[in-house]
Amino acid sequence: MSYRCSRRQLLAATAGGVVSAAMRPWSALSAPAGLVSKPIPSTGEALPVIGMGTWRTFNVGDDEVLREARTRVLQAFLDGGGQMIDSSPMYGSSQAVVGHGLYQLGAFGRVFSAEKVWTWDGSATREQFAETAEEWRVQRFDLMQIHNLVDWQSHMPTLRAMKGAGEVRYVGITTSDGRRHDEFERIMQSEPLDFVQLTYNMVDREAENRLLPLAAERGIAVIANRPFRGGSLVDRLQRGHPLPEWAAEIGCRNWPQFLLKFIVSHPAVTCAIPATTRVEHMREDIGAAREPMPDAATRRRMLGYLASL
Amino acid sequence: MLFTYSLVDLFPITPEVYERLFVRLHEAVWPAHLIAVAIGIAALVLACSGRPRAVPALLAVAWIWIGYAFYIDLYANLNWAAWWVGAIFMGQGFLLLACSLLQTGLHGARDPLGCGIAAVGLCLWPLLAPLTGSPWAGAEVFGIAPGPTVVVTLGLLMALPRWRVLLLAVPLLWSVVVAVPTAIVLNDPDGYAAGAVALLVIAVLVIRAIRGRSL
Repeated sequence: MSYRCSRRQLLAATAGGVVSAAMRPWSALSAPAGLVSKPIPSTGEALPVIGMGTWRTFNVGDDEVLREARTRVLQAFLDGGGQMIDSSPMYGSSQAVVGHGLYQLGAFGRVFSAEKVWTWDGSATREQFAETAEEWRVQRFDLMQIHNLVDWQSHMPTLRAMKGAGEVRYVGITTSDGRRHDEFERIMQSEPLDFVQLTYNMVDREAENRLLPLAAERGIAVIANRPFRGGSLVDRLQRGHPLPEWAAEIGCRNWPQFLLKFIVSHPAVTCAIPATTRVEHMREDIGAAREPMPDAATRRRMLGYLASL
Repeated sequence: MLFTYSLVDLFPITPEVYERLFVRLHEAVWPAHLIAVAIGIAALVLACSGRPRAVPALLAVAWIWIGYAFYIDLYANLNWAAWWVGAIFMGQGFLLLACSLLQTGLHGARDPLGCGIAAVGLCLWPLLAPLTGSPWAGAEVFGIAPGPTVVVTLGLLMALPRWRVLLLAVPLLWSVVVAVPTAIVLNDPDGYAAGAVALLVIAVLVIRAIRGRSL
């Protein structure tokens, strides 16, 4: 019952990925028209402010029914102009399901691939990179991040070497749920990073104190994970709490857009990566990447409204 | 570093995916359920009639099969920890097999409560799915799914006068360390039921020990 593609299928998929990668110049994707994008500070490359996470949502194994459903979600994401897809070896089969979906859609050249190294074996950076690339059916990634700072001292030099060799374009680190912020800050201060990924949402705002200002100061792009606290924040708000009428002034038609626009309107945040299993939710999420965005006064108003509920 | 992870981090799948594991497993192995239930009935009848010698061997078949087919072959692709649970399940199966082959400490005994618990696991457990709003196609059956297999094992091992402490360790640990967290994170009511049965078994054994009956 384990998923194993035949050698012919794997070669065909890899060839497809190689062809796609070759056709797309190894440089920035162009920002979709009408979508709010922010520059990656280290290069100026524009990135749409709404990406896609795959923690739990894309880990469906070889279930053909669910793989097809996730491919539809991926299609909705890409059709909406989304580019960054974030995954990790920690996420079970999510990498393979993303690779499957991109292959089905012929969409290798349309994404900003954000992956992670997650192994306590500091000598296995390249090995895990190769495994991840095989799952995605690609040869390179736009961004490689050290997941949850696992053995980061060992992985960081290797990732920098790989960046120098053109195997990755950006290097970063990740954490979540407000964990490891002290160590995170030390690394941000001492290491040349292109990206950091951390938890930031309307309830979990600890990063505003030090990490977001530091990222802005050091020219590091910020990816905000857990924008909905795993979905619980949206569930709570949708149960009997109306969206404020003035939400329409900032183009918010639903709570997910309200929550996402708050996050990505922070000056230091580059991109948020909500995860979902449903096409309609993906369309709601990607809808948050459109003007108008809340200014500082509106952001305070948004926080005040949330606190009043 | 490991202690910075939370319970949810140990379950990298959604409830929908977990529920479909059983649906897909049933589709793949039907009509093996009939054989599994027959094995369970045979084990129950033997235990309840005071002829327990072959009971551990019958249970071993279920444990070894579930350890490989459900955990290692199906679930481990989604959750790295499932491989280890599967290995432990298979280990428990081989331990049960060894117990049966050695024929040590197995002699006639009847435990009505234990037989009742085993009967619940065998006959009533599959009803948990429709009763809790899940499809029949995902109902958990002895010998195919871990939950009812653990419950039947707990019940039948209560009827064995010796070796029980060793053989009860894995089923009880599974109920507390795997089933209950699974229930919490993946909305699986079967896990709460398995945890409740484990607590009942522990309570009964402790009371019996205090009252001077053998474990």
